[in-house]
Amino acid sequence: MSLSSIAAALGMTSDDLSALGLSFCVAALASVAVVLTATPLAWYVAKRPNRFSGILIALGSLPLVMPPTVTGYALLVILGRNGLVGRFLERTFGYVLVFHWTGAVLAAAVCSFPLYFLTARAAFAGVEPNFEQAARMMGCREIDVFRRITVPLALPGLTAAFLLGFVRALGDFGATLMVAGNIPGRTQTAAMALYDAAILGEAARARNLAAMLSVVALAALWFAGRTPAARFPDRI
Amino acid sequence: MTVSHMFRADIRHRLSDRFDLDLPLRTEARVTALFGPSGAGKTSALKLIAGWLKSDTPTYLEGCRIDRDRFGSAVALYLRRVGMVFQDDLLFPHLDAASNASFARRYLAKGDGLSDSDFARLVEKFGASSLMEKPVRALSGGERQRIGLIRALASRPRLLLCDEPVSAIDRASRFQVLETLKAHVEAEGIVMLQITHDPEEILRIAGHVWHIDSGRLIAGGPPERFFGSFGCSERSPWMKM
Repeated sequence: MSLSSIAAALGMTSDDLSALGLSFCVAALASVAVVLTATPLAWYVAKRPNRFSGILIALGSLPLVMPPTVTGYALLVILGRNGLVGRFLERTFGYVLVFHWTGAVLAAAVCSFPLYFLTARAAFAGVEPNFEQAARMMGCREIDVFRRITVPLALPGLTAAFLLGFVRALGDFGATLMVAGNIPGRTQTAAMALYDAAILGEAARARNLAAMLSVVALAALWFAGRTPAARFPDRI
Repeated sequence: MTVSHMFRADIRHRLSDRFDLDLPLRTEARVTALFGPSGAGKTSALKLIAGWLKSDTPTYLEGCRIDRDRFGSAVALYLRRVGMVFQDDLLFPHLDAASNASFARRYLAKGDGLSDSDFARLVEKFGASSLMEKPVRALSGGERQRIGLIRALASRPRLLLCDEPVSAIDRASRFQVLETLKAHVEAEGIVMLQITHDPEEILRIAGHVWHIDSGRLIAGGPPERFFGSFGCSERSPWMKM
């Protein structure tokens, strides 16, 4: 049985299938981008607290409390063809982010950034500094302390952070809609296909998409809840 | 003219509003014990000597300053070659006993580190060969302390700081471990400072004692002056006055 025949049996169109596929790709790329950018920041505010920590934490958490449409609008203003960065990108590289799937990746990354960032920060803060200091005394440079002590000890929390960020990116609607639009087969993610299905009164299609997104989210959260801290209960 | 002591540190450090350390420490012995009541500042003194706590404590080993380079800037902790054995062992919980014991080996420059056979001999000397495969959480308190000692010695320190390193080892093997440790530091030319509450331990391994109370050095001298060469008194003669 092929993928498309399963989709047909579930009452899904090929657009739905491509929407689901796009959602996964966008969420995966966004999560990678978030891990690369938010991990150093989370480490910095957790392990090197200073007078800038407060503002950095506030800025890193901001998309969590903003309406996603506001986040999306801000991205549109900055990255749109008339935005400061958008105009630069278009003139220099001939590259347009808006109404393109890369715009969806960016919007999803910005929206899931706080979830990863805050969870990772808590994970790093939970690593006993004495272990890191002991490693330094045994000849470890900062990068080795990070690689061999901090990250392994924070790994359960970092895994949970990644999963939370991934599901948030998977389900993003508002910001992605503002930046990438809702073009079936090109920038339409599963959340947006669900919106279309509901508006058009296609109940079975809407139900299937909703069920799929819910199952993935539930599985990720269950897995995230299983991992933290349980690995070294005798020491931490 | 300066006299170069085996070890010298001039600790002047304010730990809190109500507690400061003023310890002009000097010793000619390879093994020196820090003795005194709990809360006297012994562990803080070791952490200041180690550079674990930031301070500008001038620390000299056989006449050479180890906390500053010749341009006067602080030497990074990872370059100091100071080993520390902790009261609460601080074995890395995500690594097994063998990875803990050999943790420092990969960070030593080629030629500085122990060879595989020397490392195996070190493990055997401390009776830990059978522990190597175990995860840290499967070790008893005494076993953890043995691994902690091996881990510190495998980093080839010039100065070894021990905070009650054998307190969890049963009394029968405790002195054996201490004798092994003493023989090792003598053979390797390591200077060792050890916190202990046990006069018998001090008489067995230390060549010098610092009696510390309330952040002050009350007395320093050979162990026999404090505890007599036979029998043991918990108190120093200075305490009786």
